[in-house]
Amino acid sequence: MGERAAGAAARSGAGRPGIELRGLYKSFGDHQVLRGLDLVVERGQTTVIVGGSGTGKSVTLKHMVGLLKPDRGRVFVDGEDITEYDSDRLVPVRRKFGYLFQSGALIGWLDVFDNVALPLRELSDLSEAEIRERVMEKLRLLQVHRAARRMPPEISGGMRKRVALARALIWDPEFVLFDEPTTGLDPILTATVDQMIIETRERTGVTSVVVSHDMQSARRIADKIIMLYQGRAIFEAPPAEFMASEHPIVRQFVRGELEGPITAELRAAERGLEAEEET
Amino acid sequence: MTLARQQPATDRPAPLRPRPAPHPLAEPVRQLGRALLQIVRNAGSDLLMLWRSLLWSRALWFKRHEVLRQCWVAGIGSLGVVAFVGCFTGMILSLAAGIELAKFGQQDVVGSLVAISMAREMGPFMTALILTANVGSSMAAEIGTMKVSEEIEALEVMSIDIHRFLVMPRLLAMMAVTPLLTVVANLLGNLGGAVVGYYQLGVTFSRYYHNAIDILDLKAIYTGLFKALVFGVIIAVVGCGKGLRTSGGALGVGEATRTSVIVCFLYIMVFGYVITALFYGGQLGGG
Repeated sequence: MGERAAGAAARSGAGRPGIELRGLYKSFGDHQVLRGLDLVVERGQTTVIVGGSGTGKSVTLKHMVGLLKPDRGRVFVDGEDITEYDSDRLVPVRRKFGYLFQSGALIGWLDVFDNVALPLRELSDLSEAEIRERVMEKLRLLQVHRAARRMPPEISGGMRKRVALARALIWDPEFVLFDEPTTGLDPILTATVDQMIIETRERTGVTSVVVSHDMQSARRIADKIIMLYQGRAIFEAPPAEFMASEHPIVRQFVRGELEGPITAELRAAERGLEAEEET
Repeated sequence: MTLARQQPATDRPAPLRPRPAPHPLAEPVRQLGRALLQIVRNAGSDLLMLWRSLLWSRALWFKRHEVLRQCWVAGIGSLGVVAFVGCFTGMILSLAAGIELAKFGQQDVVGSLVAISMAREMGPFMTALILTANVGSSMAAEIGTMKVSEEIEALEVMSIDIHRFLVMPRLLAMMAVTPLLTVVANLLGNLGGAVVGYYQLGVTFSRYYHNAIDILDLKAIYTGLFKALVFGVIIAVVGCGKGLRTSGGALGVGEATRTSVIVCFLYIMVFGYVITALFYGGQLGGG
């Protein structure tokens, strides 16, 4: 971490718990996704949540900003219990967050500039000149200022992610949540997005939570990796320790092995479904 | 554990008493109940959305550009079809009624008949059907696509009120555009009716015009325009509501679009009847 990063981290109150999830349960119909998830995100760090498809990574992220309410358990942001907050009470809490959705979620009928300016225009009393200044600053930070007047479908996937991040950073948030930021990108774009996450933290001292199943990416950007399995956090460690772990589930996931407890569990579930269909 | 020790290991569990076979109508009734509950739930959520969006109309000046954009999309995009359909509706009414009236030598009154039918019923009705297909379905598809591509959640995370940002401009635009297009449909319908009257029924333009003006009272005009306003609200609310409830990817967007058209048609029929009954039901004097 450079000097600038160290300064930024100190400003952000590094090391203090920023987001805490305690005993979270969440189901959708009959499908139980989270089963008593406990998780702590420390301030000033980049925490990467990894796990197979359907283990509840994105669901976990959505609980942090109140997009989903848990069936049981509590969600704390800076020690404040936001579990029961309605959308009005969530406004100041959400102002602390930037959220980068998997697809970027840019508004299709607005150009790049207007997409980034959207939160300022809708929620602030800033003049158009001030809005322009702030938007261009963010677009320059992420090196997409030349595409300011282009429409979202006219720019590449990597640029869309950077524009979406510019929008997520427009309020200078304390936390940025990234939902699978590198999914569907080629290796070079993946490295570019990783670099973007690292630089954002170094420049702004922001606390990042990244949901991913890309281990290469996780190793590059994480201060801490948390493994989700069957709706629980089963292992967490710094990247080097995580990659070298002998925990059977973590090891199979990291090495991408065909045989192991994860696939055995999947096969057992498939057998259960088949038996259910037969009866 | 105690219970387990008391029973020998070889004991089989007591056979369960067989459950009585469900009544053959049980499942259809259950499904009907579920569907009715869903309809009530959706109607409730649509009404709530309407109320919240109307409250946000205080931000009309701030959102004027978006409201005008929606007016342009809905109004100009549908103007040609509305004019064409309005004209042919008048022509059909004129011809169909004229042929029967001519048997009694009463074809001169065709102007009155077309004018009153267009103003009260056919103008708003045909305009609403076109706007449902042209604008309501595209609202459902557009907002539905935003829903499945996480744009609605992105707005929520940014604390941007979707009623103010998405629904209110569309609602106000439809409330303005539907009555205006109805006026166009009425004018073109009467023009079409007059042309058919002149060339096929031998009714002069002057006679057609005077008959039409004589029968048209203020009540007929404002009833038709009020209907158009209500239909505009229905189209916007159903289109936006269906879009916001979309789930299940591209398939869900298709489903939302399809059902928005059907639900709009049904509401337009029902509310069309109710409004006519409210304004004119008392004139029957029956019962």
